[in-house]
Amino acid sequence: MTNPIKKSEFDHLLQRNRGRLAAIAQAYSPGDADDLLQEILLQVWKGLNSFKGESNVDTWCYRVALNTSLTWKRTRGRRRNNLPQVPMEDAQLTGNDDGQDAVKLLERFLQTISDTDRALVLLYLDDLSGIQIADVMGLSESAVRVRIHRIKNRLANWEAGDQ
Amino acid sequence: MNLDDLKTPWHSMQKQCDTARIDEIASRVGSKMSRFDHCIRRRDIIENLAAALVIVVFSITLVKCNDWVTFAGAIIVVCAAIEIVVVLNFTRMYSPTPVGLPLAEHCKKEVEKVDRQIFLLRNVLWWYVGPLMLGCCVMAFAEDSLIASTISCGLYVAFGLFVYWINQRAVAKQLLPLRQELKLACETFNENLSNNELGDVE
Repeated sequence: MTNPIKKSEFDHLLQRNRGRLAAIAQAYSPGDADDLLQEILLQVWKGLNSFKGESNVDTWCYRVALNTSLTWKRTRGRRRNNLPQVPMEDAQLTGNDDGQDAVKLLERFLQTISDTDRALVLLYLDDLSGIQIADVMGLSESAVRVRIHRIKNRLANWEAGDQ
Repeated sequence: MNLDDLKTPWHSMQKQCDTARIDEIASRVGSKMSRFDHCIRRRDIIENLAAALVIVVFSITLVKCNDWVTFAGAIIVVCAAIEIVVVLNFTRMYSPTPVGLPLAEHCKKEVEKVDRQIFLLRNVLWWYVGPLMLGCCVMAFAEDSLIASTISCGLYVAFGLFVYWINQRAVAKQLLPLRQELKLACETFNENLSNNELGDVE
């Protein structure tokens, strides 16, 4: 029988984070996002037993999702250097500013960067502070700042059609 | 376009998620994990049960045998089985890395876990196969016929070497490539960063 307290905790966590977890699964594994999402939720459930409250539970959940996504890619035999190349013309924003185009652009850009940088970008886009990002990533704040700066440069070059 | 322009589409991606589908996936996880919460890892059970069976069977042999050669062989096998149980349970060969760690630390722990597995499998002849093989070979020479004893011993050695070969193959084909991949991943966290490249995160 399921522990009702744990079930309740899991449900609350899911309610607050479902969109984020689904988007992370989509960002890391567009081809089988549902499978990855299931694995993430499995790891969250299993990990709740050992979560001791040493950090904010949503931050912890973010770490679980990212670690699971990174491990997922490895176990599925995917490698960084096999990421699909984005055709130059697709890197341009369309003139009509359609939200869907921006989402597609984001998805394409995420596929051009490494798994580690992708994690950094997602944390940044979620408006986490530098300290929070450093805490999730296990990096120093200055390292986070420098990496974000590099990613911004890379995005600008990518948009300009630079390979 | 800058990175901040991608915040809106990122939040859209989260809002666009199919809530009903996610809840359905979550409910599957919930029912699966309620069974998991009451189970121990299957491989641990099998290994420990097999060792327990060996200890019981060869302990009975110890008690019932009437020659010192069989006695010596049985003692070696029982001690080997106990030693294998200790190594498997205390090195935590199959324990998963906690997923709630910071990403860089999680990556490092994964490398350490694979290193542990590689070390154990590379040395499987000394702590697993060898002692069992030795005990069985000693017991084989309790037989009256030297030829039969030699053949039995030869078969035990051949089987032991086959098990050793399988484990080395696993190291070469699975664990070493995995270790390489993990090391590369860990290196992405340790890249040398120039202090001149400063940007404001907030």
